[in-house]
Amino acid sequence: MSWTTIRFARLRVRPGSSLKVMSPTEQSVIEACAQVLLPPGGAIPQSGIDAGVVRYFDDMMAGAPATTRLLLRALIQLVEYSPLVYGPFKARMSKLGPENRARVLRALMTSRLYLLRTAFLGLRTVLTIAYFGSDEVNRSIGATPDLNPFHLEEAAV
Amino acid sequence: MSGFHRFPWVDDPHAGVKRFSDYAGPVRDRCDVVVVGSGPGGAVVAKLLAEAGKSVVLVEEGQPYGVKHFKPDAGWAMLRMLREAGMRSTRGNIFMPTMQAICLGGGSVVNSAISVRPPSWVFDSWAEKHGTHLLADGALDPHFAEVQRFLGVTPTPEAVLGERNLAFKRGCDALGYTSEPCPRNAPGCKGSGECFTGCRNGGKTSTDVSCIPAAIRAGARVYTSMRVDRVLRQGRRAVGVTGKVVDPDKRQDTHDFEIRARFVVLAAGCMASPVILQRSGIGNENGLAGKHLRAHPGVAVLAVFPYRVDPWRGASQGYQSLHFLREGIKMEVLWSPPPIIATRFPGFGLEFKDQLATFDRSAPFDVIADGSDSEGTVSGRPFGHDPDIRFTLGEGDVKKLHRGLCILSDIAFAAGAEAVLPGLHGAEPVLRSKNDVDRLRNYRMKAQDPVIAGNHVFGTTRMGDDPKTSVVDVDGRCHETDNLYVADSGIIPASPAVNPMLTVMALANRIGGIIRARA
Repeated sequence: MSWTTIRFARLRVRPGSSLKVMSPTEQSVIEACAQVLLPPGGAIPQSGIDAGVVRYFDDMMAGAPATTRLLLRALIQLVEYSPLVYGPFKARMSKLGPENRARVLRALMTSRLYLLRTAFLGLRTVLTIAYFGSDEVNRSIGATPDLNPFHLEEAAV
Repeated sequence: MSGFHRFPWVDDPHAGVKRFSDYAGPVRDRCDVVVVGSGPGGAVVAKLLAEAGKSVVLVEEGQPYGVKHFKPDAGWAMLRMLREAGMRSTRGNIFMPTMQAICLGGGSVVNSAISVRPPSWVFDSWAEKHGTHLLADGALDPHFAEVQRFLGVTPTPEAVLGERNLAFKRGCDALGYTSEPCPRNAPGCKGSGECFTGCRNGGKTSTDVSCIPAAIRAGARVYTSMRVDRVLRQGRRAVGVTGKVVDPDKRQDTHDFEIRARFVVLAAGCMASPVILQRSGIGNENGLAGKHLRAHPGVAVLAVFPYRVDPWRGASQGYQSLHFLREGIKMEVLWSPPPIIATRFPGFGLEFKDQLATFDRSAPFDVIADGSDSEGTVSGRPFGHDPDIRFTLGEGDVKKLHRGLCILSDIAFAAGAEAVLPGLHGAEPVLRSKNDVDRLRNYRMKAQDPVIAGNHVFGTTRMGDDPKTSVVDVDGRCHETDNLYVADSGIIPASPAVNPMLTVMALANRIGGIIRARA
């Protein structure tokens, strides 16, 4: 089996998985990042995992145009292999413990390399969009939709 | 029906629009004028010509979305109504996200409905540099007035401003800066703050509920889920357009289509129209289509107040300051879904979540620079249909953005903010006093430091009197092709200083009138 075949095989959905396009490797990277970026506790009790960010991310990947999906996949791979390429650890992101994952993400966030900072921001933004896909998270910050917050008369249109 | 606007509201504004499910096979049609794109430019042209009795076909790649579809969910809106799922970005010295809509009504469905006339000096400047003298001396005023009347453009009413907008006004007042409610084409606005994801109140007069129903009533045929790839030509004349019917769910091409017409109007947007011209071998004889991409790069601060602001209450962008417009700086109040605003927050983990929890006390303010020192290009990619966008943010615009960030921080503190988040790499993540703002003033900001967005894009098919430096003439007509027009933001030759939608519509109204006289 060639290297290319192996790579493509790893981008397939796990048989029996409820996810649409995310491979097991991608799922583990997103879970690993979400656990550190959006942990349980704090001012918003719900964690990213509990809010369903992995499924939401998968839905976004599935619904995106092919080139955008490729971009999201490249982002995941960049984050996964960044410790190996840029340090400070000699292991992939998904294989690190939570504290070391936090160190890797902090290194990306504060990197002197614009590409890495942008990758961090891109990942955090997509996960935050997914996080706010949860009604409970929106309720936690008081952002419940209100179509008529000023109690106006019937709309003019 | 309200007296605010002139168009008759109908219960099903998309009635008569042809959708993907209506196409059983290849589609062919013939008309006087085919208009490509249903956003602010194309919809105005289609309405005007259809009402003049011309046979008009309007072609749109996206689908119709309406009140029954909209959801206040950023991801939902990005996936369905924005090109490249809202993740389109330039490359160059910065990655600048730039959002273009793909739906019936184009950008008017997802923008904040700001409809501002540029000051007269903008048109004087265009005339001097690009030879567009026919647009100076108030020549566009009747077109602005017509569009404003039809769409019901009025200053945002005080009743729907909310504390987020009012805080900005207070800050400007305290510092002696002029400010005003944004004029918007949202006569039914209730201040629900959902412009970005589509107004579930139906308060905006986006073109899909205003111009397009009017065009259909006048006999126009409107086809959605059709992507135009090329302008058809015969010698040096355009004879129609051709492309593919696109399955909106599978995002796959299914059938061919061909629309034959005596006049072709490209209004597919600043990023798509030049690529169509590049592929067509017509209308781009000097190879300038796609060059001279300009944008209004924008950055934002988040002001955190000691009391509840409830930023989700109030018109999305209800207040603005034109105080520094001559210096290339426009300031506005901003709102979009929380996760988009949250890009300004520092950190991650519990620190980030705690910051998210301050949203109810926060108000984002943004500044856009006129982009006069920045330029880029748009070209087709060898694969796919999305454009390759290169953009270089110039040093002069970086300085304007930096200055704007400092002024916005001043406004925030003058309005009573206890903290300001400038969202700048390398600078203090949270400003807590005017001294911190002074330190920010001394910070040497680089192009890659802030989170920049470039949502007003223009210039890729710019107008002018010289075929060696422009793609279309002042009437929007391609220099070398008598019956091929462009009527989107691409024809704007230089910054309009303010949000460009109303200018695009006024220019389109003028172009439509010219075609009406010829068709």
